[in-house]
Formats: sequence, C-alpha cells, structure tokens
Amino acid sequence: MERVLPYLGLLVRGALITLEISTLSLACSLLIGVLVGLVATSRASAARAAARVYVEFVRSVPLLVQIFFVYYGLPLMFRLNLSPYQAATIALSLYGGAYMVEAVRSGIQSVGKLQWEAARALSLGYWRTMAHIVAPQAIRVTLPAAIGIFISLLKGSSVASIIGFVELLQTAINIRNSIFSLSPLFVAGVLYFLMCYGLSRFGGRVEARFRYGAS
Amino acid sequence: MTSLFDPGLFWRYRSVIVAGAATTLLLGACSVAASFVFGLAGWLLKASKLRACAWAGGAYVEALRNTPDLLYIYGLYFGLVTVGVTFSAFTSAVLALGIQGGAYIAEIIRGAFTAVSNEQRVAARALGLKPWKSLAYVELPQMLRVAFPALGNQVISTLLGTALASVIAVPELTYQSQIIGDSTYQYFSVFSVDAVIYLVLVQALTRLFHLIDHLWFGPWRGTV
Repeated sequence: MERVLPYLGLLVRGALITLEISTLSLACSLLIGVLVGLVATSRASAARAAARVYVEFVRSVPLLVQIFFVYYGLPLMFRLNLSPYQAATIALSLYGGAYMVEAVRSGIQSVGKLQWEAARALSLGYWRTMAHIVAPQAIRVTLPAAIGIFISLLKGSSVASIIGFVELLQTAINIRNSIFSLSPLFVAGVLYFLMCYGLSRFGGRVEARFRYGAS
Repeated sequence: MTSLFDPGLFWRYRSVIVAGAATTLLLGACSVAASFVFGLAGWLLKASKLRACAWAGGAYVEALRNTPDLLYIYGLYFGLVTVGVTFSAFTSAVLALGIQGGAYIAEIIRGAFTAVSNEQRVAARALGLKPWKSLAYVELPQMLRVAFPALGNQVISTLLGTALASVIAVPELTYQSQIIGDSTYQYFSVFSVDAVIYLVLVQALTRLFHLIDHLWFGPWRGTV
C-alpha cells in the first residue's frame, strides 16, 4: 500500500481529468436534453418520434459500443480525425443527453395540464408559459435526475480509458503496471466513491428540499 | 477506398458474430444470476438486526453503486493476481458484473419490502403463519410484483454491461466486432451492426418483460 504513496498526486490529477470530461459532457447533455426534451413534448409527431428513436437507441446500446462507434466509425464517415478526448466527450454527451431528454420530458409532463390552460387564459404564449410557468416547476423533477446523470457520467467516463484516454481509471492501471499492486485501483475506487457519493448525497438534499417546497 | 458500409462482411464473418452474440447472452445470463445472488445477500445483510451486518450491507450497496464497473473487471482480473488468486476472464466478468448489479438489486428488494405494508405481515401472523411462510406466501409474491419493472431494467443494464468484458478479452460480441474491425478496417459497418444487435436484444427483452408484467401482475396493478 505504501508503494502507491508517491503516485497519489497523479491519481488526484486523474480524478480531476475525470471530473473535467464529465462536467463538459454534462453541459452538452443539458443542452441536448433541453432542446430534444422540448421536441419530445411538442405536438409535432414526426419530431417526437425522432426524439424517441434517439433516446431508445442510446439506452439500448452499451456505452462502450457508442464510444467505439464515435472513435472508430465516425471518422470513416466524415473523413475527420478525433482524439480520444474528443471522441469520448461526444459519446458521453450523446449518452448523457438521451437520459437528460427523459429527465426534461418527465419534468415538463409532471406539470399539470391546468397550468397550461391557466397560462393560455392569461394569454401567455408557448415560450412565455414554458419559461415562467412550466420550467420553474419542472426543475423539481429534472434537477435531481440531472444529478443522477452526472454520477452516471462520472462512472461512465471510465469507459473512455478503453480508447486510450488517460483519466482516473487508466492512470490507476498505468501505475499498477509499474508497481504490480492492487493499491492504485483501490485508491482510484476511493476517489470515484468520494466524487459520486458526495454528489448523490447532494442530490438527495436537493430532492428533499424540493419535495417540501412543493406547492 | 472501400465503401462505408459493406454488407458482405457480415456474411463472411457470420459464424464469429453468432458465436459472439451467444457468448454475450451466456455472459449476461450468468452475470444476472450472480447479481441476484449478491443482491439477495446484500439485502439480507442490510436488513439484519445485527448492527455490524447492517453496516456491512449498507457499505456494500453504497460502495458499489458509486464506483464504475470497469474498475471491478480490471480489479478481479489483474488485481488479485498479486494476492495469488486468479480467475478466468469469463469468471472475472461474471463476478464483477454480479457484485455491481447486486448492489442495485439489494436496493430494489429493499424498496419492494417497504412497499408491502406491515398490515400484511401482521395479518399473516394472525392467521398463524410462521415468519418464513409469511415471507414466502404473502410478502414475496407482492414484493415481486412491486419490484418487477425495476428488476427488468436492472437485467438490461447488466446485459449492456457485458460489453465491458471485451477489455479482458472475453470473446463476446463487442470483442469480436473489434477483432473484425481491426482486420478489415470496416469499423463503421462493424460497430453499426454490433449496436443494432444489442438494440434488438434489449428491445426484445423490454417487450418480453412488459408482456410478463402485464400477464402476471396486470390484474393486480395498484393494489398494494
């Protein structure tokens, strides 16, 4: 165990890289989630079906296969070159985005139809109703789910190590290969735990706060 | 330059792909079975009246739910060599996916147990049923009904998790796809078909679970 001590700094750096790629992917997921989520709750049935296909596809295919597809497949299609970092960010964003669409959709649908009708009676249009009436209520459902998605992204980013992106898990494996001990993986596990458990406790508090603040 | 999508490829490699899909299903089935065993054990530990056991159960669930499954696949396959324990790649993957899935299943069972109201237990006792008979005939059937959709989702995520076993060279679908890709450079075709196979498997399972849920529990929906 003491052989891992000189490498603690490297492992913490790996954890920061994991945190960085997960945060970036979370931001992109949020963008996808809000845009596609609005489409998924709209009246345009073709667009709704397209959103459905995207969500079902992402949820039915392993994250690893999605990462492989983006890293090896997409460059062939578009004749471009993606670094492991770029490929992993794209794949994780699409992955988190699909779950975020569901979080946004269920948030919007948790707001009753009467709210829409009341807003209509006050002659508010779609966007103003969405922004001032629906969104503030939908966030009670969406925010706790978004924190859950952040945790999935933190854990999922470990899969990016397979295409050669050196984040926390890959750092631990590289150290293991030089000192032949289980301890770097153990330390990596502790670091993952601290990040994810902290977030899930935070998520629990957010949820509880919104529950009692509910109308 | 060859075309982006080459259907002939899959005819040439059909036996490899079928074997890969079969291994994926076998690995998935074994991992799901293992996850139920670990899940039941985890729940029993967590629900135990002994403080130490309950703490250990809680620690198991929280630790496993907040760390990535890939860590356990590597840990069991490479890590334990230094301690003198070796597992085959297949066994490592089954154990890793099993302990990971078990943590989620323990929570699902716990949720179902709390959903079955205490009156049911009291009523069963009043009818003279011993605790284990009450569990087997009164509580478990109701718990299963509550837990069924969540358990179905968990089975699917374990099946999706089997793709990670490719990193330790278990010859499942994704591993085979990588091999075919490496030798033909047809990565686009290979991984599209790989994805579609998973999609079909998962969608078929989802439909099957919905059907079972409807047939077995449909008439009792919302009665707990």
